[in-house]
Amino acid sequence: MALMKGASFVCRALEAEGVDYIFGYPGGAIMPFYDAIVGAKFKHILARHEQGAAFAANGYARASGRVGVCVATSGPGTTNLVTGIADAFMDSVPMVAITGQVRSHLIGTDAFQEVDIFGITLPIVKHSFLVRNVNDLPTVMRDAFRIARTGRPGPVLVDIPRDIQEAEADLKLLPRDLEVERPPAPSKESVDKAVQLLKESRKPVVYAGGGVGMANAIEEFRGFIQATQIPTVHTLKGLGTLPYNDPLFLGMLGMHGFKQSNLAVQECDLLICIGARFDDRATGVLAKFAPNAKVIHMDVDCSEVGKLRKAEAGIAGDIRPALKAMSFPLPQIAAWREECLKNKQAYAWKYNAPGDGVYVPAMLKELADRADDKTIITCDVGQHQMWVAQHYGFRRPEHHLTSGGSGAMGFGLPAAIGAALSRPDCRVICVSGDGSIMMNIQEMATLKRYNIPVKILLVDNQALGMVRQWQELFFAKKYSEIDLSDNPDFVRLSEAFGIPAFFLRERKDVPRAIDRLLNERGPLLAHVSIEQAENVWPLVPPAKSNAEMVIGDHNK
Amino acid sequence: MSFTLHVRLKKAEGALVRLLGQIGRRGYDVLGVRAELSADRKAFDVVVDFEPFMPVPPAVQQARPAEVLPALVAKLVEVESVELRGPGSSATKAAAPAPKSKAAAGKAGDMHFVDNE
Repeated sequence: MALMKGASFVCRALEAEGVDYIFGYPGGAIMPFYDAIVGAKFKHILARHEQGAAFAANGYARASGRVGVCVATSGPGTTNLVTGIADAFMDSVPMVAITGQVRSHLIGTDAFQEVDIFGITLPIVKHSFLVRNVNDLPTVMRDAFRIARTGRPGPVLVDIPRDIQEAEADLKLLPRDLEVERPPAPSKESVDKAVQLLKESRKPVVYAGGGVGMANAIEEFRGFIQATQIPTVHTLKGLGTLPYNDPLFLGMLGMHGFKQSNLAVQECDLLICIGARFDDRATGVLAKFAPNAKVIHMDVDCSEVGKLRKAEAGIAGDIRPALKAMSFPLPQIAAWREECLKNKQAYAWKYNAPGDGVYVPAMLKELADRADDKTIITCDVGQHQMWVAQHYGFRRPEHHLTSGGSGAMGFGLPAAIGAALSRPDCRVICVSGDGSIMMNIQEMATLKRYNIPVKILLVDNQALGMVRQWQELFFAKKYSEIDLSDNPDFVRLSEAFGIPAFFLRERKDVPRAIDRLLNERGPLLAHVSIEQAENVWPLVPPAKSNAEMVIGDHNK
Repeated sequence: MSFTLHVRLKKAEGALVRLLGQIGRRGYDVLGVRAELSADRKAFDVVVDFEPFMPVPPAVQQARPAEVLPALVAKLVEVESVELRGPGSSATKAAAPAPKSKAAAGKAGDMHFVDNE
């Protein structure tokens, strides 16, 4: 019998899972683990804040499809992970968060750096463990990774008291049970019903979400669209499921969706929702969403089917065989398809904003046109995030890393770090705003330390732009706490971190800036100054249906 | 209108709190709870009386259908079985077999829920 410390076993379990990077920050209650990782097969990336570590693990997982791992000590270390864990929960990202806890006998005594992170995170994890016995570690570690990546992925918390990390026991790795990890096949009755609805439909629309990519169903999805020739709209997280240059790609739907997308949904007679969840940003007023449509709802998570909208056919489980069964020609929809494609042409964005200043939609379109197939874009949250979704054309969903459900400012830069490490074959560009970048600016130090070749495209309007836009449109231009005109000099700030940077303001300088972003080695920051008055259009006002969108100034 | 959820729950760290949290957080008001530990002390039999939260005007949302809850509860790792019992015939009908067996959460296949609009 070979005894092993709990902390050493956790390291061996991570190695056995094939983990190559973990992201964390040490502290008192997690010190045995940090002692054990010296010489481990995986590399530890020292973030400069635990939130940065959580978002980096999150970005690592989103870009690669593998489980991301973050580590923190007890108390404030764990609470700093919370936003990253919540983000992973909202966007179904496979992640394992390992946290140190005070010694078992101190739990519940308000000990130094004791926080009930198990209780705090209950609503934002797929599952969680508080390890009470060192002999439970083999089961806990195997199950944590299985639960994180199986079915609808999500974050799992493993909280390990310090004495459990230090305890010795005869601990052996448990094998993975691949059968348990396979999603169940959908019922034949549900697929037959969907086939019948497709045959009866004259005006179908596919509404595709992030669940398609997560189910590894891109090939089957594209085969389904190719066979049926159904016009397709995407959620924020579904972008790239169908390549942006596919004729049947109508664009994003919802609050900042394109007119042709929202019109198609409002007028369709059959809505085929695949890996999406009728999120309020996509539907607007739910009761007025796709008012004339029957619904086929396909999702690996059966609890999503019918949660918010009745489904005439609900297909729960592995969507791939169902998509194959539904892939046949629909000659009766030709006129409808032509109508949708005409609308797509009529409402195509014109990129004709007046003036000499940088026009972000045009800059992002040029960036997409010139970047190759192996470019990953991470975003922060706000106006720039919506411009990326609307105007950067994606070819794969895992090339678009955005905080969709939780909308967490500060996501972009650390997520880019994780993405760059998990996909060294890809170029990674973080598009951020002047509000968002400051929320995790400390991770510039992480970029520098590990010389991670992330490019940052910082769009600066010296304001919290999306809040400003809403105050302009819906709060009678009464601007409240959105001014960021005292921003630091971002070029000098970047250089202080040891990262080269440059500034641009004029439209004519955009091609050269993109040259640098695409071609220079190592990390780089481009600081782009834009007009504050530039807003995101189209926009569906609050409490309105998607049919009542406002188009804005430049695209009339 | 109140409903009753019968849940078989593996005894594990935080399992009861997680169950009640899931019910409350998803839009249902817990009216009563009875939990009994099994003879082998490995599971709880939990009975939860609840009703959907009734939004107060001018809120635009509708009350959540009770029939949606079993699938949401069945997602919890510790839940071994779940059954909805309601006061009316429609709710009883919709107490469709909850998707269970952790390996196969999602076997519910085609499900027909009440319209929430």
